Amino acid sequence: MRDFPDLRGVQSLFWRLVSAPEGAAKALGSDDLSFLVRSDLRLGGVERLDIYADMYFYRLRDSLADDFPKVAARIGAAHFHNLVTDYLLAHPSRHFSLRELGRALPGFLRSHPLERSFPALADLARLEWARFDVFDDADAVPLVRQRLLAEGASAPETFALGLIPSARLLRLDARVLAHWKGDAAEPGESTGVRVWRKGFDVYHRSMAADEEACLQAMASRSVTLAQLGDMLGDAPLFASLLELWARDGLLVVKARSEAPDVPGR
Amino acid sequence: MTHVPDLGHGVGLRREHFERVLAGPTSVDWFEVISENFMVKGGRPLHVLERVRRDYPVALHGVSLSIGSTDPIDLDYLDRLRQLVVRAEPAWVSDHLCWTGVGGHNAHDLLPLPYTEEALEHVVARVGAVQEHLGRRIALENVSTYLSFAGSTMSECEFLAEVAVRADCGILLDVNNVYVSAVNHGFDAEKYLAAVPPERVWQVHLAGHTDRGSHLLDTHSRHVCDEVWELYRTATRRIGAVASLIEWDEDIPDWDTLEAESLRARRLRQEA
Repeated sequence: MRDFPDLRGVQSLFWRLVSAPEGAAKALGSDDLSFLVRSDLRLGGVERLDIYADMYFYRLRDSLADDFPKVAARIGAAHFHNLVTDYLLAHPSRHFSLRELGRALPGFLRSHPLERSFPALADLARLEWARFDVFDDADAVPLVRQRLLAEGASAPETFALGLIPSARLLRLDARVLAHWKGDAAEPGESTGVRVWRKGFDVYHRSMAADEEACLQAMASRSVTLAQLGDMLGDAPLFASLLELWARDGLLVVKARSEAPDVPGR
Repeated sequence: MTHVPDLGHGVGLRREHFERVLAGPTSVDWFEVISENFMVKGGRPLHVLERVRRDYPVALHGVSLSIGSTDPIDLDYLDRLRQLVVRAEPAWVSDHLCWTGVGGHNAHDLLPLPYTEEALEHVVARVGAVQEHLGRRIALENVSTYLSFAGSTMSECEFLAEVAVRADCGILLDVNNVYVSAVNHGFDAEKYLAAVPPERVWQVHLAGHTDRGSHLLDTHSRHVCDEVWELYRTATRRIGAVASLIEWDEDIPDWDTLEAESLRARRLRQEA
């Protein structure tokens, strides 16, 4: 019988067996495990390892199902089970927090066969992840209408704005918004979508090209009110978008020293 | 030995009960929170933690310290834990006597250690490093286990006691885990409790488990069973007045049910 390994050896072998997608018994093959794990009348050593193997997979599968409920619902339980099996092989968790487990799933789905069976699945996952990701992102004091009127109107050349940290700008297959509601949709163009947290609630909505350009500019640098006006050109549109962004709590005021170069359109 | 306060009888704070807890007085004395759930940048979790902390003592209970792993200690994790300690000012910080991953991977599970001299020295050294990094002592919890290693040279309770004494840390005694492991491995739970150094015990955990026929599984999904309540009575007589905590993480009941479970712990301790 083999000698009992050192602690590193125990942990490496344990990990290999419990994370094997086919379970500990199949991963072990005909090897005898008695040098490592005790058996008794209740359970053999391999059966005991399989308790951990099951817990490993099902805990991570359930966590991903919690984070991607729309993806799970769209493809069904059997496909989701197999997707998680594939995903964990390619992206085993390397972070201390389960919160991070699904970060690579949208990208992984892009080249997964399920994307062909369920078009725009990767983009649906991107939207779910963005919503999940902003839920506990950094807090900020959003710009309110009163401040916009009081300070912005009097100094548009220096009143600089940026996007709140808990916002994401995505470009998604337009069908995703229909799939989100559980509706079918025909293939179409991509569309800009903004995801943001207001208070403790998370929202998303599609954007027209003008709005998307402005928010993209503010996401990458602070932009003055005057620069935003130049980007949009149309004064009524500019006023209505400012009103909308203030109501949605999307913007923060940047320090004047951060006021930057003029962004191009 | 540093004296730790007897916080009384608490429950694990779970999001299903956030609104109820924030809405007004409860009969529980304190809350335990899962550290990793609050290692985030902002949003509702941190808001809730700050609100709860205004009204109750709080302890931080982690699941990812991986004190027994042979990977290097995750200093990013420790830094974030230290930041959370500053924010929450917890009564104490605890985690589990286990490992959670190796080779850079994380199983997100509480994996068993072989009870060997090598593992003991390894864990003791790491507890020392963690306590130095955090600037405070920690408590380690005995975990439920489903296998034992052929190379173990001491019992689990001997290992736990040795870690606590040599590393000068506290013990979070999970009575349900003692019972689950006792059934799964066929050892005497009463003897286990008798071997735990009482002066090291900072806190007791109580929880429910699931009988899978061939073994008990630590699911935290139901009421504490009668056998575990009886062990709690025994532990309380031996250890004295230390904080108790009800853990309920799956099939989470309404607040009143959880509160009633905590009240039962209070009654039993008074009787004991």
